[in-house]
Amino acid sequence: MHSSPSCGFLTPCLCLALICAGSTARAQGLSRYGMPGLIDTPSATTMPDGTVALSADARHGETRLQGQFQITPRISGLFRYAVLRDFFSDPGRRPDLFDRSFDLHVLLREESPALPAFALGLRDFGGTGIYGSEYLVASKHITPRLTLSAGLGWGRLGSHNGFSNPLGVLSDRFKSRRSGSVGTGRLAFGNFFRGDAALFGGLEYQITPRSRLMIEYSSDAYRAEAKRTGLSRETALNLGVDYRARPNLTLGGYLLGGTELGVKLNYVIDPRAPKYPGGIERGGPPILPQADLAALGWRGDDISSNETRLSKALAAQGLALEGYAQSGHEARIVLGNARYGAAPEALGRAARAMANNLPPEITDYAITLERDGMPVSRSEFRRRDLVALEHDWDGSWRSFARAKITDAPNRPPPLAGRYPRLTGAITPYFAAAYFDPDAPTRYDLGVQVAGKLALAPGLSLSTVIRQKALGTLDQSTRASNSTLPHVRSDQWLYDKADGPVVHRLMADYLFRPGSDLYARLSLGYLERMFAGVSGELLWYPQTSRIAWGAELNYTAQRAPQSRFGLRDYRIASGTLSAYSDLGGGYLGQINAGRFLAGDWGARFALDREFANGIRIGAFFTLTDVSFDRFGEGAFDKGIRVSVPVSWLTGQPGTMAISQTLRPIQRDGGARLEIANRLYDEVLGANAQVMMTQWGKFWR
Amino acid sequence: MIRFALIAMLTLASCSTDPQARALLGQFRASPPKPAPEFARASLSGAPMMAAAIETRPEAITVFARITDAHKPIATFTGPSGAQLIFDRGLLVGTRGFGGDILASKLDESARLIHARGTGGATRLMTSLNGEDRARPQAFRCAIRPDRREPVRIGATDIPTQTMVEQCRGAQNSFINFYWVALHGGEIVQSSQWAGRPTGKISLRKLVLPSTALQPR
Repeated sequence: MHSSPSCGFLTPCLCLALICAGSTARAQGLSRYGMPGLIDTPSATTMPDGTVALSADARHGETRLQGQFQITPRISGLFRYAVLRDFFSDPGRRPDLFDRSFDLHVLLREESPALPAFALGLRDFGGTGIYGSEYLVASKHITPRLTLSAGLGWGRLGSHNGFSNPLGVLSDRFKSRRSGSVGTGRLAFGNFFRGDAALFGGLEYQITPRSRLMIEYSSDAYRAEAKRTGLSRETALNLGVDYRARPNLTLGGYLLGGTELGVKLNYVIDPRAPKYPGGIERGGPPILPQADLAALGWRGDDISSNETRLSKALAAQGLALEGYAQSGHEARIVLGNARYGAAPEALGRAARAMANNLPPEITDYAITLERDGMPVSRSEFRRRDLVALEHDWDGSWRSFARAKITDAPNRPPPLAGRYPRLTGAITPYFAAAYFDPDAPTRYDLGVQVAGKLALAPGLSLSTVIRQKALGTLDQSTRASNSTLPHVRSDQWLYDKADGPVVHRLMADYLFRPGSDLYARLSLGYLERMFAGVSGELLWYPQTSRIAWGAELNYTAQRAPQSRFGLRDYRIASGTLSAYSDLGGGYLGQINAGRFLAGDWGARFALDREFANGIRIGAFFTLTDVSFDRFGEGAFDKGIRVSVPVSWLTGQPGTMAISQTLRPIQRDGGARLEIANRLYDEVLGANAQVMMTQWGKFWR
Repeated sequence: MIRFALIAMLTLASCSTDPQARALLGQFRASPPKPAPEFARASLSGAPMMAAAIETRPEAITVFARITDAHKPIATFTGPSGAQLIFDRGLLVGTRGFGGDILASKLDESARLIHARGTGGATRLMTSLNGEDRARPQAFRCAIRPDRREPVRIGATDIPTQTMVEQCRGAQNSFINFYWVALHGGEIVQSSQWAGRPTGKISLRKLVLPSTALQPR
């Protein structure tokens, strides 16, 4: 290994000196680590709030795939999957290293005319250690186009020209850092900001609005790579260039240490900027003037024609009239909405349909939103408000303020002929497994039949049957080495099942035991791996930011390769849950109780949900299973993303594409996968959530 | 790219009782969609009609027909696809089905000056739906002035008009609207108006003159 001592200390010191002058524009670029930075070193910038940046990086012997999310305006998180070729030379061992890691980057202070921006970061804090490093960095614009960054790094970023840790004055503990892995998946708390530190720094120059030139002095000595793969750096200087080919697509190339060439690509997605903002569906019919309505001669007491007319008008909007009652000047309906992702859009269209299709003496409209026949909330509108606000510039907010939204523990009875009814869909399905070193991506493609027989309001039988057409999921030979009951880690055996697979076959009863209370009883093959009974109770008042839930399940594990057979493993599991709308679109959730392997603990989840339905979140589960007993990964954790189809197509819809990504699926902290947990079922019709989506009322 | 891949994945071969799945499939089918029933009804009943074209796509001219009757001060026009244009005294106050739709506007000051063919300043409020499905009002300060007089040919008739220019500036967007106001009756027979961020300007022209246009307002 060779370095260039001539600029060892000078470059970063110069950077620090220059950083205190200049203007305040803000550059945005991503480093090889998929986080704000230059090439290998970070910078104290952020991505626009709420955006997702996917990046790929490749140089000889190393490939990285990364997804970064700007969680808040100042905090961003990242998940990385990296492959290092020929990393191990031990005989009998697979030579390649497959590594999953998480990073965190926090902007401590924004740039001001006098002072630079500061940021703090943890790379690979999950503890596999290969990229493990921490940093404190400052960035400042010298001119609107030239930005200087400099900082102090630990771990990997303290490996070139390192010096004794300045934090050592606080405690001797900071002076040494354990080398190697602290255990896959564990938080490396004991190593953060420990060991030698080193200075790094760099300059980035915006040549044109689309291209950026970077030069950096990196304090990463690439020790492990030098030792194991023979990488040799001739200098600590790295050079790079970025080119923004499309507004959200950037391509780049770099030269590491004077010897290693590499390329990178990143693609930025803004959940708030769909191709068709607000959708491109047809508008609803405008409200008829009172005089025109009166001229139609409809009779107020002719309930059955009113009902028929309204039912037809709602059907034209893709909505279903599930119940109808009227008395005096009020009509009450139960509205089935399988069309509009935002419940307020369904309410707005239904309210206008009522205004146009009921006799003029009926002036008050009460609409109960339901889920599978169970009433959730009741919204009341008056005809004169609708008329006054239809074209009001502030009509969205004013119509929300004038609507009366209350709990709906009861509902008008179902219309004749609504039950029983059968609905179904035949669709393709895609299932994938990631991160197996034998084959990092395995998948199945096939056909899925989903059917539902609704017997009465809230009572239904449903099934999902899958037939695989092609795929590689059954090729896994990685038998589980878990010492816990194999409640999840035998997935590879389930993937080998032949013929049509009964994914789910269950009976559900959803009902309202009282005000603000929701209940669910489920029985049958609840998910791919478990069958049994499940009961749930949820307390969730309208306009509340908090909900509480309790769930109790008694299940038997399904036999992997039998359609309906069961294993001997029986387990009672259940959780107490707290759900909180933290404001600003952040949803927090804690589920504490007993998990499928009989372990006791809690799952913590934080999601950010945009009003257009996109949801991005992360979760982790800690139980009384020790990190060692849990095995690789140490504890259950993952990230999840859900994208409504309407965001992609601009057409209304309630379907979403969802994916949960775990670095590894083991048996500790595993929770029963219930398809219709109550909170997610009723969330969209709660006044608190509808308020954020009310912009769609007049759409 | 990613969007396309996801849609393609979803639409490999689906058939469903669910209209959403069918709507998804429709993305890949070439057959033209059925005209909206309200458009068919309005165009057959001799309702007032206009031609409209988004100025960035001038080749695609669409006919819009009025679906509300004359009792309503606010006129809603619909195109064959079901997209709607909403007018207050000839000024565009709303759109539906264009993406980033304008939900409603308040532009009384502009309407008054344009119909009076006068000069002056006006404040305009326009509320549109953003990518997060939130209604966002935007305020504009507008300068209105008459330009030259010229005839506009509607059908076989040359209608003498006064051209009006409305130049608006807002925090995020600025635009210039043009109106051709009939000298007799004061109706706007032709215009070029801003319809929100992704859509931009729309050119509009009356196709059938209602008899009221020839009488004083």
